[in-house]
Amino acid sequence: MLNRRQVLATSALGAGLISAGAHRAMASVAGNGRKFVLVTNLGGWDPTRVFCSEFDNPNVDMERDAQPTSFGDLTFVDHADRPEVRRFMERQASRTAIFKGIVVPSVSHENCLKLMMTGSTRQNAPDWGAVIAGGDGYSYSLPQVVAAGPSYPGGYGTFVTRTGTQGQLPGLLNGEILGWSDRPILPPSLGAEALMDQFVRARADKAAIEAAARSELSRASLLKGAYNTSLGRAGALKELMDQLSWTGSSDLVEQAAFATSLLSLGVSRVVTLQNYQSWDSHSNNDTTQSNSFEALFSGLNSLLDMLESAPGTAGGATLADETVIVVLSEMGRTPRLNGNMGKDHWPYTAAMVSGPGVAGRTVGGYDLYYYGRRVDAASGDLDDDNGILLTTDVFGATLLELAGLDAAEFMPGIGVVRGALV
Amino acid sequence: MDRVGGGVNGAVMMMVLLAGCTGEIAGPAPEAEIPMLSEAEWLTRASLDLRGVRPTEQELAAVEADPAAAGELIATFVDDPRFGSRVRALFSDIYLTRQDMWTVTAEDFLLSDEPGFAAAVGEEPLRVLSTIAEQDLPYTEILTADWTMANELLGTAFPVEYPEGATGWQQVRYTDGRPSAGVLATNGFWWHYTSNATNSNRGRANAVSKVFLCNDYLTRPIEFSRDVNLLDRDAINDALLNNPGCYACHSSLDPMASYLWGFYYINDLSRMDMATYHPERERLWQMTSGVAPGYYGEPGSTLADLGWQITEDARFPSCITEQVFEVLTQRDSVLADTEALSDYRGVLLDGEMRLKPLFRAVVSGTEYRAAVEDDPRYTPKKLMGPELLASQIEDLTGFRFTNDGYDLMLTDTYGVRILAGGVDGVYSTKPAEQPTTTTVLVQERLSQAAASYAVQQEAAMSLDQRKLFTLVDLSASADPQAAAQMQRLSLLVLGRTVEAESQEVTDLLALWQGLYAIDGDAAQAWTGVLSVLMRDPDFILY
Repeated sequence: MLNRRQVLATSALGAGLISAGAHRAMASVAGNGRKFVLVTNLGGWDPTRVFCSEFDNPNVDMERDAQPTSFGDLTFVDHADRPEVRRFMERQASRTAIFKGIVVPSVSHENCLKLMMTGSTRQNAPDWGAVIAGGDGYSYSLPQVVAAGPSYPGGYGTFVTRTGTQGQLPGLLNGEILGWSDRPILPPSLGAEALMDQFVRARADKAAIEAAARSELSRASLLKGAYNTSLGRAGALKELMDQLSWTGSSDLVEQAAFATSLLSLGVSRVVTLQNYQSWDSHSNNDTTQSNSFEALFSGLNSLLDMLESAPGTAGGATLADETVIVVLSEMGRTPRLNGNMGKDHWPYTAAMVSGPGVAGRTVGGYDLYYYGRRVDAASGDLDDDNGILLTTDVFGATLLELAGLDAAEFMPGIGVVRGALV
Repeated sequence: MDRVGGGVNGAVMMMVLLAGCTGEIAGPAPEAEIPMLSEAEWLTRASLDLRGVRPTEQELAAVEADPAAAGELIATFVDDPRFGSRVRALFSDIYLTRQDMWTVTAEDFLLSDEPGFAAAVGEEPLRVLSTIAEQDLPYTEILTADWTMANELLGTAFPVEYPEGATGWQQVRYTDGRPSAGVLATNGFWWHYTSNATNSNRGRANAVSKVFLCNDYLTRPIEFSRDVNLLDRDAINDALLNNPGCYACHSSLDPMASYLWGFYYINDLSRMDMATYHPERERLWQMTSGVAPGYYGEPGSTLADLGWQITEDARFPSCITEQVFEVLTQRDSVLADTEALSDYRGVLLDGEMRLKPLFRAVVSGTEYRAAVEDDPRYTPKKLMGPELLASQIEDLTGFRFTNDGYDLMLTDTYGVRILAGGVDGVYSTKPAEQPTTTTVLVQERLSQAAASYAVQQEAAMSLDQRKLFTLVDLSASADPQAAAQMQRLSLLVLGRTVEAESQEVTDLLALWQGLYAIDGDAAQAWTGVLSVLMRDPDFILY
């Protein structure tokens, strides 16, 4: 159900809030001014290869020649084969939190992915990105863009856009999709299209105003207001079309460039990417995980380079000062190597959150049996007696708070690890 | 996270059950106090929902002459040949089986029509449902029928008795010894809802529960005991039987899951493994969960038993009632709907579980027809999904947006289904609730393509052969019938009766002149006029 502010934003009166300037004025780097890039890693990573230093745990098979290394309060697993990991940690340690021992109560990829991204296995549960996008979605043309990877819009489908793997969205914007038709089509000339757009917009505007006059909060008014707003955003996007670094690529660096352009132009608040590395290492765990982590962090460093090169749009010096990077995988892997030198599925994983508003530290940990330990929500410190488990819900609620949303409104009773935030 | 969630639905369902016993639950305000859609608006809404097209000129004229004709016309819509297609479209968001791709492909079956095969697989269970609706069979057939539906592609790929030389969708029987269990015995259903040895069909059992009983186990919180050794399968199975936190759900879920092993795939890349039923695997539950097949304490042995057991559950008719109500009103049912749902359930039962009376009753009901603006129980406007948008445009213009055999409005890999507000059945499982940037972009391009196609087609026809442009020369720079043609287009596309001197006609004529001034091409100017009419908010909000 939409609140009054959202309803007003969809009405004809709110239709003007489509430019980047509009949310530049209302946003700040803190809270709801933050942008998000979600990087998914499907298959289930082994947190002990980068995030979780379990060298003292006799039940965990750690990697040979790896060692714990700290930058500030952030400790990670370092290895000579992974210089990109070290480079990222060195750059971002002061605002990177590693959540260790997040419980994902399943060992199936599908269920774990949904749990990690939504906190639930229910059919219509929206993922964190969709909720964040919806929280201030009416200020953006495409509140959440899924450039690649999974997405669970749930009831927030209005705010979530997939670009399509075959260039569907740019094709819609520039009209090239008309050429995809099996039947012969004569596309309108640019002049004709502009006149038609103007005509359609005027009719939609009139319809929205008339509906709002009858009843501002009715469903009819809402729908016509949303229609009108969407037309305005579509028009604005057509004008920005050539400035966006469109890609349907599986390459993380190309996806990062697309994400940066979306954030920089104020088109989106949340962008979802996928790192297409192999993670499901039932055999040959160490080589697989090491290569995948190194490739992931190479991509993250490129993303960071791009964000640091782009001016901020909400008060930050650069986009890097306004953008939170969330990196997750749906599950962890067993503590011990199996007979194939692999590791199987394990329902405790880790995630990394990096950017403005994030404390540079580790949160959580593992016990002797490699089960996740409890943390004190306020401080983020370990508290086996009175703390809370790092469930996927808790992780998600913390992200919502980081985004300036009231997590309690969306997830009543779920703890927020405020100690991970600054 | 979903603040409207299944809890309310579950409560409604229980209230409906109670209402069936007592009939004493307070209901909505008397109908007379509630403003309703006009007869023409009601006719249009029902025609779109039940036939996928707008009313004809004759039907609109009949209702204008006699408003009482609307109800009579609407009552016949469920007998229209297009009704089955609408049943499939409406329930595709519930079954979620319309996938773009499968682990086995047409090529695996030596078929060349990849898009056709991929579409047909997900269509199979929906075709069973629509056949039951169209042929006015009892809805219990959905879980008890000894037949399925197949077209010539499935007829080749699947072990069914497909009539030699036939084409198109036919009612057929599987020949591999699978039990008679309606949709539960279709490949299309289980190719979508897969499982693995660890999950032991529990996810599938939940899908059955959700689709046919409106009972989603996954809406309940999952308690995850730290006392269970996660590396020990025996310990996990023991917890499912003895740990109260686990047992609450698994006591009923796991016996249902144990019915489903005949559809367990060992190799989901093998066409033989995927296409055929495996009676030899029916008892694999003995080696996995160890829980015997059963339904809430009642034992059984085959999938056919499960089908019958579900159809005898009081929640079964309640669920289909709730589903028909929700897909037609385009909202979740709430407690205030209890009396209405109880009435509709009564219609279903009185009609011996036939669906046509239920559809007729819901589209005639207050919740469907009310034009109340400020009450969330009513939906004075609904948003059209991609399939309905495509079907009404096809009816008007003859255009279907296809690319190399793929229907772009119904697929995602090559198409725009999700961008148009639809669902892919895997990640996106709930249609968009309001227009978005991408829905209006899809509407724009589809309208442009369809208008271009229609004008090109009709330009080559004589006036009396045309459907849309029956009054003007499409190549003429000026036509005395232009205003009348605008009136006709408004009527056909939007159901609006407008005067020749109206602002609507004046605006459309001015647009035509503006477009002609830009390109000097009369046909393109008519294309532009038709396309903007199909981009009107009232074309997609109905």
